[in-house]
Amino acid sequence: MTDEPLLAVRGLEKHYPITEGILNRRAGTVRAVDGIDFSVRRGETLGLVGESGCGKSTAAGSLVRLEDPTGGEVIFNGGGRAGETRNADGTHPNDVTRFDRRELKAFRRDVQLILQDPSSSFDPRMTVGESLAEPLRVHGMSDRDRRRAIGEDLLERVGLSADEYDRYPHEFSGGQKQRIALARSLVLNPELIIADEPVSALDMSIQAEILSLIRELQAAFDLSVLFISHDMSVVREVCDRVAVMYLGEIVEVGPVERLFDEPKHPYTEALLSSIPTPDPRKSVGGIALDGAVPSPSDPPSGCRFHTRCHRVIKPADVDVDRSNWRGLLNLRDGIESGDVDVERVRENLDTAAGGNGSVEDEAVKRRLRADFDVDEALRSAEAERTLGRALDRVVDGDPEAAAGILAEAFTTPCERTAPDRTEHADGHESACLLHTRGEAETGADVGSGLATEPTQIGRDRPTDRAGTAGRSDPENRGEGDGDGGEGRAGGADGGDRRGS
Amino acid sequence: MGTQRSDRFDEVEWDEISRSRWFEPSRNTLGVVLCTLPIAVLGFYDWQVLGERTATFAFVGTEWDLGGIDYLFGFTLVLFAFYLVAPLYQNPRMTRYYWRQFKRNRPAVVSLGWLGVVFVGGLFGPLVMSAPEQSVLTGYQPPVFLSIDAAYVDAQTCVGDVVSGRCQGTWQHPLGTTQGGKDVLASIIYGMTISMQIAFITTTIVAAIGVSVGTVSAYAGGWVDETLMRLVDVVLSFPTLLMFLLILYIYGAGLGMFILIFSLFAWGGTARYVRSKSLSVSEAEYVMAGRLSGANTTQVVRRHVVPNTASSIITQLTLLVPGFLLAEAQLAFLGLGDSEVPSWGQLISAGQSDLSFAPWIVLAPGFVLFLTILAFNFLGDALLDALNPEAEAETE
Amino acid sequence: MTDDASPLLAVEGLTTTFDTDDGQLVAVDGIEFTVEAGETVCLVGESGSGKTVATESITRIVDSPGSVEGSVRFGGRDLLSMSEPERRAIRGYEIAHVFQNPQDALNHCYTVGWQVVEALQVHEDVADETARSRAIDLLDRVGLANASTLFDDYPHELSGGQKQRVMIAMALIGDPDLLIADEPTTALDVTVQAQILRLLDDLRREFDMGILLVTHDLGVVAAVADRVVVMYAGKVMERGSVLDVFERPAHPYTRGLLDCLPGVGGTEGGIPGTLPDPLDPPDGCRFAARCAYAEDACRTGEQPAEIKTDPGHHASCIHYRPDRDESVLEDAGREPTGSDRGADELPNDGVSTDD
Repeated sequence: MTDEPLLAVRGLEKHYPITEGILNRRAGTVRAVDGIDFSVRRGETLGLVGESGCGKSTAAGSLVRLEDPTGGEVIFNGGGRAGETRNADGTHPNDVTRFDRRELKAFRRDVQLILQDPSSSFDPRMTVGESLAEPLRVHGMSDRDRRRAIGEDLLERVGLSADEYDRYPHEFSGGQKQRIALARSLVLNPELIIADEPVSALDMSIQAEILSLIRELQAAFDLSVLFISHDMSVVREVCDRVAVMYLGEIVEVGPVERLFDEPKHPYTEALLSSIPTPDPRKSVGGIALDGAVPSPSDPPSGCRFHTRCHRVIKPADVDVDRSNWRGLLNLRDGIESGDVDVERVRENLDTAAGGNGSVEDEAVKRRLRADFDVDEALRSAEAERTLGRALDRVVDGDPEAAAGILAEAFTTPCERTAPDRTEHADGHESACLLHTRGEAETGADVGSGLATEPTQIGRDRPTDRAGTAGRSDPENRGEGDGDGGEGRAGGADGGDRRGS
Repeated sequence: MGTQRSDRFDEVEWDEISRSRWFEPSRNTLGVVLCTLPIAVLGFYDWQVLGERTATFAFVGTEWDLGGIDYLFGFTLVLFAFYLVAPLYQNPRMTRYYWRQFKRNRPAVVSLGWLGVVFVGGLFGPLVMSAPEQSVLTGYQPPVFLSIDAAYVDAQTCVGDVVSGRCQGTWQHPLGTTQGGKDVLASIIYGMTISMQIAFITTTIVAAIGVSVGTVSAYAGGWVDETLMRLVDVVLSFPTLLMFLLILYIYGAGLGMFILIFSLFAWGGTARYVRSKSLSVSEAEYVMAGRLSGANTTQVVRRHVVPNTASSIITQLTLLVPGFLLAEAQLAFLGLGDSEVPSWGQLISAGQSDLSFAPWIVLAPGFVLFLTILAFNFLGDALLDALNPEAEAETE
Repeated sequence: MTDDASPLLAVEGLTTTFDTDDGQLVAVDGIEFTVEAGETVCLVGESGSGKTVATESITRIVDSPGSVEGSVRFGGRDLLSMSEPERRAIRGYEIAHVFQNPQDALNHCYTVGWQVVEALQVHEDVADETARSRAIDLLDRVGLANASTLFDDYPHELSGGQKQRVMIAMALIGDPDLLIADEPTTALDVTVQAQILRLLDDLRREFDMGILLVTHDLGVVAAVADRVVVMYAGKVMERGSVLDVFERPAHPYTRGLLDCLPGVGGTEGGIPGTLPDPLDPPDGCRFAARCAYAEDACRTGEQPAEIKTDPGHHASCIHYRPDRDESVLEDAGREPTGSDRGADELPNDGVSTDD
């Protein structure tokens, strides 16, 4: 046995064209999955995690060719295909994306998908037995009794009884249906199972049952599992390795303990800190992420996470502290995208002041600073001057000029350079400029954002919120910042549809 | 179990199985083919061997003749038996479930009973009863328990007694007779056959075209979809009645033409419905699961999409039938129907001039027609609720 | 715990019954709990445990075939016995609801701001201009940046988290004393969930609001709750402070739930079995059929009366009766007894409709 992985995904891409008009002119591209690499070894469970809209379900759909991927290769070495080498023209004989009909049909026996919603994954007009045995029929097993025997045997293996073969889906509870779905995914004796949020529609007490059943079956039949989930605690429970996805890209991959104990990528860090722990004495941590996930049709340049990152890199020549830096970048983005509407702000202030139409420019500027969590006076005089000039332009109604001024003075390397993967330890890789530039270790004030803003909730826990004045806390501002009218909407909607 | 086969999923030799494939029609399809063959053979024999005037079953000595519509009717009955009744019998659990849902709706159960009477009457009535015959001598006989003034029916022609100047009805003609002396009850029962023929044949044609066009449109997408849907628009906006009248005036038209024309222009709504339903079904996870198991599009459509859309268009079709029955009756009433055919409409039409003194000629078939149409409507509503296990499962 | 003083919300013997085609469905069966001003009480349970119906019964917004009995005292007034107009004045004003799906709660035909203004004007007779500025303030208050821009956006232009913030803003209109939040974060991503929970907590503190939070997520409970009410099949199994319930869970059901948490109990199989049929609940303790510690006494009579295990900590389990030895419950990992299904048997009653 070589140590080739069972499944190797290289640069997998799935782009959806956005068309408009009667001629279906191509107006843009939704980069739902944009070049991801990972591999699943024999017998292991790899977790693929991310928020909704990050493209993890699309990735699953493309790699089993429910939808044809638009790029990359998916090399599947199971089902007697082991040990193949590349062809002379560089293509791989085991590349799923190049399989013809016949090969694809054989491939279907080796890889199965478990879907999220057990209530809709069975044809309501077929008995669960028929549904369960349907793959056998599709693959040419014409012997009705044999199909039945296999189906009944499988029902018993997943903890149901054989006489349930003739029942209909509506007669089962969600957990039971998910058991049957597991049985169906096994019926062709696959080597790899892709489980797409298999327990997120289930109750807590049922979740645990299904998870342990998955593990039992995995051990009994030597299965590899690609486990897709948004629930980090479940992932920690079942996976051997984890890949974290953000906006169509994998930002970090590593063994589960390492990744949970020492997350390297700021996004992983934020994601982990958001999980509510079942310990009432601990607070929900919470590195707050500003803004919503940007639209995959117009992903940010450089590192895609830079628009929300709490550790976004600050050039050495700008001397402001972390929260101001984040605020300045958000303000710049807001002005660039036209999200900051000075007239509205003025009107709003005016109404609040009684509506006599005499709102001073200074008040508007103060309001903008407060909105974006920029201090009344920045530490660095130079930065303060630049900001002052830009705000003047904004209130004068010339946002382009303001954006220009800000863009010139305040830029982060994160938006210019797309980070490469850095290997931290065996198999633990992340894609973040902090690591490629070696700044994580040297520190400066890069990591301080975390330490200085431990935000917590819960009343028994001492807190910290009393100190942070009023309402303009960065984490409290939520998805508002930085995401603009259309862009934001498209992002959320498109993402939700495509994603998990 | 056996020596060469194993009943455990992980011990299946797929390489052998996938190679040894053969066409596997379902039992029901086999049934349809086996039952259609004799009908087709008989039809061919009737058409090619026997002369126009010879009755089909002359060789066994009866006068019973079959026309084109009868063959079609036979074929649709076979289809209904194997694709509607047989599955219900084969899946008793589902049938029981549907029945439990269905029987909550009392009017619908009564309606089903009435339609059962019409169906049985229409199917077997003509076999056990002789056709109503003209007999001028017994015209205008009143129904039993009613009477008619002797001015219309005198003592000689009255089958029953004449009491104080009125002819009394008899059990010989329970619903009376028409002007020409045809028995109204027998006419109604013969009319049941016509109604059933209209119901079954139109339903089959509409369902066949509607489901095919809808499914193809949903699955092909692109310009095929576009073209078919524009065709549906045309069909929906087509003045069917005018078309029928035109054909009627130019060529003359019988019941067959009526059924053909009206059902050929009635599938638009069904097709559109099937298309949208197919699109939503094809998004369902079980369809995805089917595709993932390796099934090709045809298999997925046949196994999942069509059954799931078909059961929901049953309601729509049930509600379509009353329209045809009414249309037939209306045309007949206006004298535009097929006078060869003993339909309810013809009967009503025949009695319209006698309404003032012999109302039963119109009222009896009118009432039967009304009940039948009402029954179809009740049935449609009840089926809509009963045939929807998904909605039920959600509430549980 | 100030059990004696009149609490903000006191629910007693609340029973909600629905008439269905198949008989009477008792969704909530005589539950009891209180919410104090300024505290967060979490109502926890699996789907079908009746927790949502319970919150809807408080302001009587249950669907029409349902009937609500018992007593719900809110600030000293009995909500159930007052007239519908009186209740309407309280509902959405003094008691506000936030629901699970912000998508469905906003009307897609109107701008966000318009909807907030409308909700405002339903309760108060204010001029359009004032209403507008108040609405913007509210949107601002729930942490929506650019509230004045967002005012004129349509719901579809907002992300899920933003919509939930709008819903919370609308709930704040009447400066409510009690906020009932039904799974407010279930439809949201985990990072957004943390933001919303934090917002709710800030608001609670700022307005000294009581919050009744319905959730199935014990992680959320641990993060925000002061007190917890654990429901199962329409009954309260256990209630107490969050520390008591998490650190000294009394009822076997609560213990089972906590063991199901990933990373805590080692997920050895969850709780076998399914919820009992609500149309025909079993005798005795509702949880007996799935309980590893059930005895014959658990399967007869009514649900056991609540027994105080600690101050302010109650459990409905016979093992806590004075004449019994509660230490049987410490016997961890014990196999189910008697006629109960084993952990490896099939969980297979429940929703079968076949009879």
